[in-house]
Amino acid sequence: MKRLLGVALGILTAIGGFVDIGDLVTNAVVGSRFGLSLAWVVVVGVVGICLFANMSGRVAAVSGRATFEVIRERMGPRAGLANLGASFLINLMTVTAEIGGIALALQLASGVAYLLWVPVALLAVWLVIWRVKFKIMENVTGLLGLSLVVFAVALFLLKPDWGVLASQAFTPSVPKEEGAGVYWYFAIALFGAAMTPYEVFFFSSGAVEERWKVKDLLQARINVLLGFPLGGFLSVAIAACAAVVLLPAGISVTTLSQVALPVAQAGGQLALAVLILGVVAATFGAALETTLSSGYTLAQFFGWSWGKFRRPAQAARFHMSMIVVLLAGAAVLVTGVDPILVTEYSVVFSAIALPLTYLPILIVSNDPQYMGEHVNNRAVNIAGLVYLVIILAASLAAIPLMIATGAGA
Amino acid sequence: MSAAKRRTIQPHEVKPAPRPAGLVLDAQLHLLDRQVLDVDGVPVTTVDDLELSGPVPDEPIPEGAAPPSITALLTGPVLGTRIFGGRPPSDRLIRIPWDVVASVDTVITVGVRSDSLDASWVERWLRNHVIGRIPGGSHDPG
Amino acid sequence: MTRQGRRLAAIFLALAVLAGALAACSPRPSADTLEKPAKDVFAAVQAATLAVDLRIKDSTTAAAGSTAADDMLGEVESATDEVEGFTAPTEKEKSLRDDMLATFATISRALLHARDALTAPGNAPGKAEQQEQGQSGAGADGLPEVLGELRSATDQLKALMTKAGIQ
Repeated sequence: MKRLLGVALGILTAIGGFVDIGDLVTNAVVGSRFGLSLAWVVVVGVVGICLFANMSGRVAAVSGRATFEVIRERMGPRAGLANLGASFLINLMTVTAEIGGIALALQLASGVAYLLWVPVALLAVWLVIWRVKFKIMENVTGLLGLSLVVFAVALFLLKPDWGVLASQAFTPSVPKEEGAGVYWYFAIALFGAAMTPYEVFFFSSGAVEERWKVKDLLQARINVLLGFPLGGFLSVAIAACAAVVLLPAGISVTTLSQVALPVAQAGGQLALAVLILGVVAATFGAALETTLSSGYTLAQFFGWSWGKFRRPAQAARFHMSMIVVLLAGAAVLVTGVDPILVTEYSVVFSAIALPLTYLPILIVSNDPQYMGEHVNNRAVNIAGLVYLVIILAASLAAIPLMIATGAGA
Repeated sequence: MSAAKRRTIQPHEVKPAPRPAGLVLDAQLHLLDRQVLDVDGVPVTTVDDLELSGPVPDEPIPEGAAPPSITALLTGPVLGTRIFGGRPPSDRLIRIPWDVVASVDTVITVGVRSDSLDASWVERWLRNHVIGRIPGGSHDPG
Repeated sequence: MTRQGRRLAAIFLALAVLAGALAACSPRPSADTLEKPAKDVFAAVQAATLAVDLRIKDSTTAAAGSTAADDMLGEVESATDEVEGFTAPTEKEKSLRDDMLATFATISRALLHARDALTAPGNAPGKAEQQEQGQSGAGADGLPEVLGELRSATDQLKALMTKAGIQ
């Protein structure tokens, strides 16, 4: 019974933890401009993150080593440092976007300008990292993040023409108002939002934090294989809400307040309140994960002591680096840069940097020195290679498309 | 090393390296960039470079000289010079003497506590001056 | 200067020249260049209309509604800045740009009114006055008037977009 409860909790937190500001914004933007014609990308992304998270979780559980330790050991200091630099910058961008997301959601709740909420969000995130146990932190934000199911409920209440949505989703085509370049640019953004690399650092380091052993792998696999697809389903519901209400009205999403309009229309103030709770929880959880991830990557590359299971004083460099990251993120926001814009760029840069984390994981999970008998089986390797091709293609196409389309304008 | 100084060695003169006793460690594969843990399992640093005893670079090696051996694991700014080239002044090297190394596996374990090593000075400084001073910094996460 | 340094300087110089050239030839008003700002403003006024409509039906809160209106005001401001940067050498282009800016200003004003009306909680001053007049508008006061103002501003923009040949 207790075990079953653990499994259920794991799945629920995986669903709630899947959606972050990147998924929220990108799906709403895409839904409001392309309907469901990019829903297939979410499916591709979800399968990818399942594959990817499973591999990195297995590496961590079997070898007891988190991703970045292994990246440096296997790729050497030079490639490792380049990788660290890129991953760290994207992490920093994502931290900034998530803190901005918390502040924007609080503005939606209170009407008080989001810039005033930035210090509050910053302090709250830091306090949780400083004091709260890893397990509690994960479960609370994950469960509260489940409130985003309100998007799926809202979609039903909106009584859409399901046939139209299905035909958009299953026979995708580029809408006539949008160019093919923009379509593919947003396909990459959506892919990057679903497969954010920080999830992998976080997943593998979390496995070490929670001291996973090989016997825990089954539960981890269930969490991932059920939780992430259901999280992907939420993503599609976000896009569908925007497609039903905002697309026909000619409203292309540029702010979080627009994302809330379809939900308010469908379910009134109650739905709106649930939505805001869900957005705060999801962005807060993701802010914790990304902040920790930046600490994890630095500490693992340089061999510092790290982990939330230690007292902060026993992992001083780890905690110091996270404080600096949080302050840097807040400093970026205080310049007045639009957090939604930061989010849109962060998901594309995530897609660009994906091969940097994906390839080492693929290599190490095939290395018997680390993995013993738990190396990838043939099916996983075939899927892994297919995804390597997809990831490389997305990564290489992202910058040319960004320039050609003016970042999807 | 300039070619002029070097005596040409004919292939038949080269003797095979003597077979060392015990486990063979490849410096590149088993030592460099590995995590160093202290006696309690606390991470100390990563091996950024190695210090070897023996022949000075650019000098001819006298016949019958003792083979070079590892005297210390190095960390700190030496990582930068290993990546970008050059050599840091020897007083900037942070050394973990080879004598304290207890075992070499997928991680390298030293037989002393992290706090007794020079390699942990940044950690200690931040602990004493910043992190330890923030309320709650020396308590278990609650 | 080393060879590498010289090359670096050359690259920087080229970039600077390129940036200068890009800045110098700012776009001229036409159906193509006006399309994006016009559509952005159209989206903004539509979103604000929806927010006011939802507020009248009591489906959204004052905070969420006014946040939406405020955000949309920002969108219109940045579109206005964009169009103001256009150079209009011919009389025709100048009148097109000015018409567009005038419409944007009308929309801005409507959005400001919307924001103020949305910010007012249900029992704001003015309610009594309205009740005296026998109006029974749900939600905050003055919202139906604001809705009308937003709609007429939208129509004005639509007409101008058709005239300019923007789809």
